[in-house]
Amino acid sequence: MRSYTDSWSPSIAVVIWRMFALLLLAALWFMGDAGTEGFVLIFALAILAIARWRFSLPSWTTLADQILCMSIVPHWPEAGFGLALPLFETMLAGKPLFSLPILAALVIGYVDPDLPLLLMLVQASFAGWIVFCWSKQIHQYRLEADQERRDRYELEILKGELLMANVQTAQLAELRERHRISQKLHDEVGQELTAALLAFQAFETLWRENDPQAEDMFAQAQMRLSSSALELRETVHNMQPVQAIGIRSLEEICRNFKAMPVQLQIYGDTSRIAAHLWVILKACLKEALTNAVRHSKAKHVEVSLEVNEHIVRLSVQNDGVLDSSSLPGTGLRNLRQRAQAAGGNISTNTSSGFQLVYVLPMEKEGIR
Amino acid sequence: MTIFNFALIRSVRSLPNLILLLGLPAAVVVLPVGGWYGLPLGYHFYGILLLFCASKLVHMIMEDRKNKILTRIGVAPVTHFKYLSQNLLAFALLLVGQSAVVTCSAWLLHAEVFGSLIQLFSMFSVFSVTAISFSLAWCSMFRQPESSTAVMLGIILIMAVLGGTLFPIQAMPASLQKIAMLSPTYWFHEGIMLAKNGGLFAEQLTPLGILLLFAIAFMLIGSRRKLA
Repeated sequence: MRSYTDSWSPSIAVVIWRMFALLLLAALWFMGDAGTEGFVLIFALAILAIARWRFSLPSWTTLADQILCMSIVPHWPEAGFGLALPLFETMLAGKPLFSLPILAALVIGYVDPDLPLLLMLVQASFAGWIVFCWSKQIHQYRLEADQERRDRYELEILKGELLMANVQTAQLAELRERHRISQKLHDEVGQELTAALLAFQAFETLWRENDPQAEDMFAQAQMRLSSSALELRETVHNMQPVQAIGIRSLEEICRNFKAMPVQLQIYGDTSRIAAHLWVILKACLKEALTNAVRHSKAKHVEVSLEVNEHIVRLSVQNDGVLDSSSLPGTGLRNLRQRAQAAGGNISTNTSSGFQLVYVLPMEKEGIR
Repeated sequence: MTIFNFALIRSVRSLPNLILLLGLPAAVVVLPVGGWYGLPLGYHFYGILLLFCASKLVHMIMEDRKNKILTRIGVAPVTHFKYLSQNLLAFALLLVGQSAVVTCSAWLLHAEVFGSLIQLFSMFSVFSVTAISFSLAWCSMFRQPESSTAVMLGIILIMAVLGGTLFPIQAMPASLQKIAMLSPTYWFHEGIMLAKNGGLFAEQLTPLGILLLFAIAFMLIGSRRKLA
């Protein structure tokens, strides 16, 4: 809601102050007995004020104001009040040294330093100084806000790139594994099998000719075959991951969650889920279980993972009581961001207990 | 100077403009001497006529703003300063020309009234410039030409009163006489009276200078570019 203080700005304050100063001077001229010179002075000061409003004149132009006032002072003593305007302008620009002529004129008595004039000049310099500090502060805050916004944009771009990198890493890992497997199979298993085949062909020839070396050849071929079977078993064994991946990781998380019983149900073919989606699903499950313990005092958690050809849906439901005053925390916000980056969605349902539903698309459409 | 030529042609193209620029002054100069200053009546009211002419001419800029022509000019390689200066120069030329015709008529028809015709012509010319600047400043505060014209009629009336056109300034109370100094028509009247008395040209410099200050002030206010 906009309050009236929102429409204030230093430039409006400056315009109002200038108008009041000129009005004061005009009132003094009106009530006094000055003639055309006073009128010309006020007019000239008004023109300089309008020029300052329209363009941004440099500070030394206030010397023109001061010269004008001081030249009219012998004809009209109250022209000294006009010195308040250049004083205000120099304080507004943060260059008080340009007002030294005013000080000099007061000291040597060229301008009569009576109390109302001094008060006016003090008020003018104070007002100018305040508005100067005000506009400097606003400028500072704007720069800071701009910098923060810039940093935030960079951070969000970085997050998007990170999630993208996840996908690319998964693809790269797949390619490397494929290469490793093909190399191992070609170098070791393939060679042994080819040698075994040649040995069997040699044995067949020797056996038809009833050669005594046939038995040797057979034993050799058998050895080659068993060693290639061994190589194959070892290659296959090497491919088995030590760390649980995929559905095993989710099962491990549920198993290690000791605070309350977790029931995990899986529907569909989980092997089709891409590696980068598993990372997001694991994070979601951990966050949901943590929330169940921390916030809702639940007794029982049901986790269900459904996979079809278009989406994968993870639902975590607990039967606890949700604290209605709790605000959405950073954990859920993070999950929402990751879901959106992967092109998915997260939703909550508090009709019976608390249910968190996470939906991710299966197609590799990349980051939205 | 394309815009200058176009502004000149546009000003004299429409019939109301022609009547205002040529017809009315022709009617005005033939009026006899009258009133409380000893001036020919036409010259007594000529300041008001100049204000009306200036407002009619400057409203062309306002029409440009309303018809979005100003927006189109904004994206053309023409600076706003060039556009404004050429338009205003065209209007000033028209009004100064009109003033020259009126001054010549004074020389022909009312030679015994005016002491110095040069002072008269300079006062007319400078007041034309002031009138154009005033109309420009006025138009920059309004969006619709119709509302601007309507309020301007009232303002011109007030300026006429303060300038001593409708009744003598000396009849006004002293405080009002001081306030009258704020109106350009007051200084215009001062200049006309000095021209009638035919004194030194140096005396004319005060009202001329103040009218020029008025012109500068109004120009500063009115020269801001507003596209909407």
